[in-house]
Amino acid sequence: MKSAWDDLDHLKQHLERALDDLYQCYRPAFLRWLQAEYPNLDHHDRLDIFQDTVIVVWNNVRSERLSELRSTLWTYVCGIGKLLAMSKRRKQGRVSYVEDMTEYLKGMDSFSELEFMTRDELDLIWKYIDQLDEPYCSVLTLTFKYDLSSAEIAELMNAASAAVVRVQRNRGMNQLRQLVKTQQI
Amino acid sequence: MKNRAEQLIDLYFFRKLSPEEEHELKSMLETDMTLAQDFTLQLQLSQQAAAAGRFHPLKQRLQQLEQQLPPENPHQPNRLPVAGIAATALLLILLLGLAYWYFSTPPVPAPPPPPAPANQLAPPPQPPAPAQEQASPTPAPAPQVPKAPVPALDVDTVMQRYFRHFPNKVTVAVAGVEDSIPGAIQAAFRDYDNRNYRAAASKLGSIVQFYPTQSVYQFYYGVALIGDKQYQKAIAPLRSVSRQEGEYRAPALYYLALAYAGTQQYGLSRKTLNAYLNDEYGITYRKNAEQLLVELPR
Repeated sequence: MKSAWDDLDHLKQHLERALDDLYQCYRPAFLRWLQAEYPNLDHHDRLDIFQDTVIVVWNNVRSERLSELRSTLWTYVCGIGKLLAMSKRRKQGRVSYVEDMTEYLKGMDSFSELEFMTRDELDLIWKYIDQLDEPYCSVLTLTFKYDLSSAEIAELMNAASAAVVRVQRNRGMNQLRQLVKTQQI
Repeated sequence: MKNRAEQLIDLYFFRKLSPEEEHELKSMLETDMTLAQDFTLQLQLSQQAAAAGRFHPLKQRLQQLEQQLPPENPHQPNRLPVAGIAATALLLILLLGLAYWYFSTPPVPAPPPPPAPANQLAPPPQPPAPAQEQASPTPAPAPQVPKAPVPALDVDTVMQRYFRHFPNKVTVAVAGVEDSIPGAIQAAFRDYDNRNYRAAASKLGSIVQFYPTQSVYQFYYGVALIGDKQYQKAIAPLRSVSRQEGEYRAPALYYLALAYAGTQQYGLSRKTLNAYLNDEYGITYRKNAEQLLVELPR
């Protein structure tokens, strides 16, 4: 699927309206493709993945991490969408895995001092994550929302390496801790 | 030490921790309270990820945009009108071409051609000869130019490079769903998952007869046949799936192209690969298809 946005210079020049245009241009075909490839994902998940995909692409262009396309933009968009969809499905299958570790932590005597957040507090923390600067917001979102490894995030965000992503995640977590401390959650 | 902990946490979220590494992580957590608190927060954020993006400015903007779009049925999305128009235009051009060919060719009495086998495609019509040659009562015999032999591909190498195990989406382990699937289908897909394509093809062949309208079984039957190097046999089920609307249509085109390549029908293989590349769902094997197109003999 070719479009005027395949020209990255054109995209950068019209970055503001590109977000909405990309969304409307690719939405029908992307959702149909996702439905065909991942029938187990519901419509809400597919839409969520598409929105996250557009945001990742847009951020990559804006930050100039994406400076050259080896294919059409549509293929690039689908590549990112595929990784997110696979991760989403993978995450759905490992709910008990995370719960097991949480239960393990709760059950250990030495962990009696650990603080577990309430649902409302976690909602608030997600609000802070959403307000972090880039790339920290994206790195933390991709890490915890999709359980992506550093290497996968590096691939998705055109970062230099997994180690770079790990550093960004640490910085993001530090910023988050600062926010939590100042807000006294 | 800190880097090691980060690596282990990274592996944990990616579910790649070995039992030894899990033990190592737990030991670190027990001795480092700060790390344990941090990890607890990460675990909880992962569990509560549904809230992610709710306050993200770009996400909010896209959600607003989403609400302005006309409503659609998510289960039966409309096809792009552009695709319909393009298909109609293509059909019209084909019809015009056929009409032109029909009226510009003078009727030449010829013996009726032998009936083609039902499963074989008719050869493409030959372009009309130049008028001067047709007018000549005794046309000079055309010089016999020996055709260069088409080099055959090494089928095994091609399949090794381009055949991919298509993931099983039928008996995927979802709690409560697997029980409702008949045992014969589960057994067939167990063989399929284990790459035992011969056994899978044999069982799927019976399933296809039971469920002749279910293209999904035809598709996996075709893939299993290719996995078992029964390329000629794989053509019919895959061709059938590739002509039906559905989620397996595009991948069926790719595997059909492999089956054609396996039977040295390179022209049809190329045509089918092009159809796959032009298909809006033709994404998963795009690179492979492009590469194979280059390698197929002309």
